[in-house]
Amino acid sequence: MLALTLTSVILSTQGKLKIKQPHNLMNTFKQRIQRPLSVLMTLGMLFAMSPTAVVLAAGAGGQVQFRSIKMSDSGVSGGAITTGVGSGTNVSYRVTFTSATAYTLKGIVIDFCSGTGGTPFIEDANCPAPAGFTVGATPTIDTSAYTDNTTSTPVAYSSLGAGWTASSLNSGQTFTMSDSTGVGVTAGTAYSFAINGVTNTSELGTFYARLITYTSDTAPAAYTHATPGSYQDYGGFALSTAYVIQVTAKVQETLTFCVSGSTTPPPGAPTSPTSCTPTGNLVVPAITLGHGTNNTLDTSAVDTGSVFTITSTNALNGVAIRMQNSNACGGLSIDAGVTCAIPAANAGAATPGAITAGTAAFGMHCNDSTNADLVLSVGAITCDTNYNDGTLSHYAMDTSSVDNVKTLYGDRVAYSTSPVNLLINKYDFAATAASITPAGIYTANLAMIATGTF
Amino acid sequence: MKRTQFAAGLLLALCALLVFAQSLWAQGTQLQNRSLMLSNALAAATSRYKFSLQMPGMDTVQTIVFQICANDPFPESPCTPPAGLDASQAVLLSQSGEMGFVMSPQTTTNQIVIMRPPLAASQQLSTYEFDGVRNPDAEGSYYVRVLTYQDGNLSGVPSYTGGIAYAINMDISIRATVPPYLLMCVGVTITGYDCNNVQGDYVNFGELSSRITSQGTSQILAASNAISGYSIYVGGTTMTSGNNVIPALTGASPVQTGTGQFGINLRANSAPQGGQDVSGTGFGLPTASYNQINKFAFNPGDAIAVTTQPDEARKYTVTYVVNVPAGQAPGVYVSTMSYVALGTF
Repeated sequence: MLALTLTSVILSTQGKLKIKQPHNLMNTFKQRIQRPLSVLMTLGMLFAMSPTAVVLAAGAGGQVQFRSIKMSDSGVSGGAITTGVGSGTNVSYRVTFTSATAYTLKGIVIDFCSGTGGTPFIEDANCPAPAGFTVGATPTIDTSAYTDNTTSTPVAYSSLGAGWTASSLNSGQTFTMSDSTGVGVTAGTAYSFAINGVTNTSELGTFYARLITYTSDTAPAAYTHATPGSYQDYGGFALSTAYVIQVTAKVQETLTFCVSGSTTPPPGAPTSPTSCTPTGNLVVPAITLGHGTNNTLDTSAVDTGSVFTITSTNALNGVAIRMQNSNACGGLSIDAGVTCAIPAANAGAATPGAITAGTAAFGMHCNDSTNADLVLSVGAITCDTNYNDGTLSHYAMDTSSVDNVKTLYGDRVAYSTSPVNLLINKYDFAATAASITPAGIYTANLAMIATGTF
Repeated sequence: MKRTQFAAGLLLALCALLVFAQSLWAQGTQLQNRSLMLSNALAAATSRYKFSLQMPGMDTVQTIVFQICANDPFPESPCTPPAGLDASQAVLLSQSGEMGFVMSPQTTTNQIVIMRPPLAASQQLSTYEFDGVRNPDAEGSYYVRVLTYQDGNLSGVPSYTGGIAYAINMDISIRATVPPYLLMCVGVTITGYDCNNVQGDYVNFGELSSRITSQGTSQILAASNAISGYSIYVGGTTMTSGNNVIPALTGASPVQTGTGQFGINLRANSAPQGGQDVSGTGFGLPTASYNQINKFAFNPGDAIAVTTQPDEARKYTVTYVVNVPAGQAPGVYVSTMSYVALGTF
């Protein structure tokens, strides 16, 4: 009997039952009596066997249409990401639906079921809690009117009004909200509300939600998975958590620094050296200070020569350029730094000063950076006041400060406080001889050392 | 079939492990305020390497690794050791901040490793200075991977990591030539200290007498940047007239009228009154025989003035004295004096 009856039962996609009249040619009275009885008996049995039978008894409305739950974060909870997007915490669930019927809405239940063993079917007892999931003990909600601007055409949703009290059942698995006054909903009208502060399930993949509406504000509190009570409209949802796309970008620490004797390309080089590569464009920074036919130093003039540094770095805290004089005496020497008959300018003071022709001295003037490239150059490298007091003809070779050109790590001559790119600094070296400056070939090797602080 | 499945499973597990390891590397918290200061940035030079860094947290730190690579600062990628770099002889000279470290035998040519007993980091700025590191052979950019470990065997995932870039570059070579000079001029008078102002080359004693000492003067101006100074030598002969000679004073002696004498000195004298001491900024002085007031001498070839260092213009006044005895043969007595300056550069 049951098998015969089942052939006449069509299970709707919403899990409800519709009954078709079985086609039977028997026409006896008994049969006429028995058939409705058997149908009634079968129907009774089915009602007794299926939880959805209650729907016919308890549900007075219909399935809500255009229903959706939009999550603000699809990441699983309890993962490596503990805050923000991808953490699965403090998530907003925007619930939207179109009322199937017109009634006074006083209660809503949204029951969340695990994707493992759970279903979205109303009154189905199979609804294990999604692991780690909770709407919280007292969820916060937003029932004001809502416009979804993420669609190609903005969609407006009506407000459910104020006065709702949100709560939860089953340790946060089941969301409830009720309002003793309620709000009149009309069939075909789209409504929306948001549940805030939800912690997503820690299970990756599909999980489910069941929406049930009530005309009673006390019914939600009595809700269970299998016996939701007398409800109005209903609907099922499938949701999913997903892997969060983790984007990691590494920026390599860089420091490109070189010294060139000129910004004019050497013979054969294709372009002026505006960067440290190709190295063939650089000019060996060897300066001969002097004048006249023999390019010598004497008492009649202050002779100058320049070198250039080209600097690029992404060091967060900038770069420092330090200068170190190979001569322990700090000036120009004919005996490898033992003595400096051409001494440091301004008596080695930390402040720059003028060099007077005929008074033996050797010093440097640092020029603030200029851009090596009109487009790509970034930032500025500023000279220390030790080597730039604003007067071009003032020179220094600091041999007196705590950190000076004679110390192990040299003297800072220029610096930036942030990353820089393709900057050229020009350094003017100057010297003159006195009448008693011993004849000879004077030399100094000056190391320019760049240190980036990353 | 089972072998294929096993191999596939193993491959999958390795891939997963690789991905997991990569993510762990990426999770290492980055060291802050990282820098490397060199005492010498020349290629192939031996330099001190002074690292600065700041721990971002309080994880236990037992080992710090400074790995120097030519390719990049990323700890998870294979390191290409810079050609020529040698850190194997590095010595830990000083440390500040997180302290208590000593060199680890795990130090290699491109990796400096220091260790201490495991202690929680204190997040202060720390410095570690190493000596004896040979720079890479070529100019350019190089990278340091700084890693801290909670253990001493460099196993597992480093607690903190960070990269540093540094540059090896050329020195600036500065050269200047100061040409040698030796300035000397001689005249009866030289105004100031300028050889353009020389006047006269003839000293006339007039008529010699046995009762009075005849005298005359000439001047020499000398200067040089010779590093060891200069010497001025006198040449010539005593005064003669044909075969008649006025004897020269071979030792520094006072004048004595009525006695045949010829001598010079470079001082201001009182007997006879005349002459001048050397003048001008500098150090040059008459030599002993010619530097005694009222005493004169003349030995051809003698150095009459000397300085042992570069000297500015000095003016020497040479006083000539002549005495003759009563019986001095008549005639015109003449002497040609030559002065030669020799600089020692």
